[in-house]
Amino acid sequence: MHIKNTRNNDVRFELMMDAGNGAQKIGHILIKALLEKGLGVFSDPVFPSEINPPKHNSRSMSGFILRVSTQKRCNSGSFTDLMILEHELFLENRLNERELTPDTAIWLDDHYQEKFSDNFAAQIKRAEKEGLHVNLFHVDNESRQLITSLKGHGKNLYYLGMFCFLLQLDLEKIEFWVKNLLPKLSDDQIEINLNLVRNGFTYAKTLFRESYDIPVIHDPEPQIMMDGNTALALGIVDAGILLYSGYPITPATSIMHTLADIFPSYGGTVHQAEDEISAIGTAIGAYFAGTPAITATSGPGLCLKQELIGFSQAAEIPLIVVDVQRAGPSTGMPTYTEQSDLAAAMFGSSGDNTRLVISVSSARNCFYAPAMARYLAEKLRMPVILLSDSYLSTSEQVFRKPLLSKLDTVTTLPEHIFRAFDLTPLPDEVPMVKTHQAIPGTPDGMRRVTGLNTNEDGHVSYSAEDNIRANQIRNEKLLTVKNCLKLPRLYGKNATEILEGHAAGNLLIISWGSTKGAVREAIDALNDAGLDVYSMHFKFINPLPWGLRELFMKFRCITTAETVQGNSARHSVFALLLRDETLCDIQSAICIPSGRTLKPFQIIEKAKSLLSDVKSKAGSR
Amino acid sequence: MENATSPDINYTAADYTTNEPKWCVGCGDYGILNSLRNFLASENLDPAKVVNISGIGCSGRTPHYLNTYGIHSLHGRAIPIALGVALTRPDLSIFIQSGDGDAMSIGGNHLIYGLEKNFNCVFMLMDNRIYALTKGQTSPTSKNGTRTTTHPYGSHITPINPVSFALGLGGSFVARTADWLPHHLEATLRAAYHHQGFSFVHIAQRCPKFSPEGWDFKNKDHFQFLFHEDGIPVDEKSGAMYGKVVHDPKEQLGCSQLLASKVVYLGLFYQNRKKVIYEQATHRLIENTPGRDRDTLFEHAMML
Repeated sequence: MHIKNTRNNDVRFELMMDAGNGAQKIGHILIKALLEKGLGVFSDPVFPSEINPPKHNSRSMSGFILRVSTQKRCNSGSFTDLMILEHELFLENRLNERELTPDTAIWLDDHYQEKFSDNFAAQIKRAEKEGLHVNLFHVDNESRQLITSLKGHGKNLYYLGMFCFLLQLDLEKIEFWVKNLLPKLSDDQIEINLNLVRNGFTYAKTLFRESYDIPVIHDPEPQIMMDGNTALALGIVDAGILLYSGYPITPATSIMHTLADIFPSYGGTVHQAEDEISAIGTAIGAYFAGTPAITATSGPGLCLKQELIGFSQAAEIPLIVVDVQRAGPSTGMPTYTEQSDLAAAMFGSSGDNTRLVISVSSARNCFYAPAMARYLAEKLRMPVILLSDSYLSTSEQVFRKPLLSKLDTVTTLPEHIFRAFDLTPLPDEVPMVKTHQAIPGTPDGMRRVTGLNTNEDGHVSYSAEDNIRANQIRNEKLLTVKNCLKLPRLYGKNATEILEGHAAGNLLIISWGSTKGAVREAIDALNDAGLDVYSMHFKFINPLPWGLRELFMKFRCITTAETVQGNSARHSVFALLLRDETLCDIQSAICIPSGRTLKPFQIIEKAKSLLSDVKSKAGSR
Repeated sequence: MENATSPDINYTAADYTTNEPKWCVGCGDYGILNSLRNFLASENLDPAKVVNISGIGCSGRTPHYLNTYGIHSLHGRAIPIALGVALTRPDLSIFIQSGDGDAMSIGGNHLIYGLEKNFNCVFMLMDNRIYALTKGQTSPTSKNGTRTTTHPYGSHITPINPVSFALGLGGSFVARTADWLPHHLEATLRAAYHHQGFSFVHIAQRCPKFSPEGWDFKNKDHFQFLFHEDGIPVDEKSGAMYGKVVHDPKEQLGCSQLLASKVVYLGLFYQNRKKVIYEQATHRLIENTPGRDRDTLFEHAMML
């Protein structure tokens, strides 16, 4: 038996099956049952880029990474404790990801052992070479017959039974969720499926003999579980936005799916446009006419929208653009994550770019973000780019039920939204290029907006004076926000002493977007090991708050941690922005463009190496 | 559209006038602008409830000269922006001014879906058969052999016929008029305005500077009016210029014969009053969906 610690606070499981064999469904049933039990769950689903690829194909891998813990976690962790694999090609895939250790219990279905004996043996051999041990298991005879009677379906339910044993889940409760999540099946079919679960459970008992006893959380507050895109969709409704205008693109599209389903019952409209440019144009038209609107896209779509983002800035029409970033450049890896659209978000269109760029760090934060974006867009009448990413968009996390805002207008915001973005309320009046901003229908308010430069009356003007004035005012809008921003929290054991000026810190790790959870987990581990490391997480990227230089000067070494390309020869865009802001030597030492999110162990390893550099420098002084 | 009629005030063309246009002397856009102003006054439309939306090009300047709400947007993008207004503000009357380059080239994709979605607006395609504001390049409607700055030895691209384009895509109102026929132009705008849906109005527009031979308007045989009681009335002055032919705008089939001819027909080619109107269907969906309070929002997520 390979389960070493039966009592464990934090365990990571995986199941990988051929796409179409129902692994995602099993993930959802397990999540429901685990949450019901009171456990912390973080789920990172794995999808193939193709829709229905041939079976037994390395590109058909579909499944989930499930982190089950006593604490609520905000990332999927570093290494897997136990995995179940449908066939040897997925073993190959997972070996390539380097998320397995000698302690990982790898369980491989022997179904293809005879048919593909050479590669089967080769993959096991490769694993052993890497110090890993692969265990084989099989689906029992009775279950095989049941699966045949279901025309090949149902292996996932057998695997579910195995997980139920491993996670000490009550079979009766599982039956409820199976019925609940497979509503289309007949009673007979349900019974066969449930028999498969029971068989898997009984088989697992003989196979594993021991199971994981994970202590449950006792949080009296109501909890909720969502992925980032669902949270954004619900946040859009809560923010009082009434039009979503979009074009299908991975990974942003699921926001549109959720809204298409629920928006009409809240009086909202989903508009599917003929292209990305049209989608943003319709959002701009709606906002000009006084209706809060939003468009969401991913990197390639952001490129197409840039000209109209510039138009919104010149014409002073409020605009919210969500970019759920994926790995690039160009088509890149559409189902994988990256934080590499920052330059496009900041500087993507012609002329001097003044846009507000904000980012989201968690599903909870996603829920609050549309309200913040709407507030900024309407108060300042300028484009707001809201950056999320693929990892955040699909991973499901448990968090305390957020507060509802139920906004109709955004002259101000509830305190919890300001707090979530480190902002204080903006002044009531913000200077505009055009002093007159009536919406259509307002008697005697007739006005024309244009992408051409205008004077304060809104009339086209090519004068030097008016062009300088317009540029200045647009930049003052950014300054207005900067003046209202608070420094993000300094995280780390001795943060208070640093802030009070009693001590200097060895290493500061700076992050934005979805990597917050992994960075904080790394900081905790490093601090527990007695290392002097801190982190700071930014929601606002443009503008940045005042006072960063003063704070950064207290650290011997500073680096960003991002899922982008970056090194000492070519800094990441975020590092460039911070370097410009503070004139401090900010490195891009924890930047990994793997398409996967940062793992806590990667941050820990790099941090240790940076700390030893700091020490050797100090020693040589 | 019939949205914005004002009950209390009698407007004149001057009420829709801001600053005077800066088009070239002799430009056909002057005539189009005047007819539009006269039309707005004749319908007594509240200027605060009219939105003129344009793209880029000579046509794009039109909203600046009209004392209504207006968006002078980006090249080719007037239609999606207008759709945003139509979708959220059915109380407003929308006029789109576009050109042959703006609508048929860079904005061609949007024109397809404007016709398809059939949202309520008057779409004015001001066609001078040339890119004029950028100084004389070939446009999608430039005639074969036209010498332009990009095809100095003569264009060899077969021009698009905008009326064929709109008919082929199932436009619910497809008409043609010309800048030199002020009364016919005004009458066409009137019919377009009273049609529910995307009213496509192709306007032959002269550009003496870059496309003096774009429209052979002095040639009596080159143009003919389409005539029918359900069509666009032909005033006496216009009627004296060109001949007439009877065409029932309910007859889609008859259009292909008209389009195959060398004669340029003016009037209403086709009208379909039954086509689904996008924003109306969208609003019906909301009306027919049981409303929910936002207190129930988290029921869409996994609650624990």
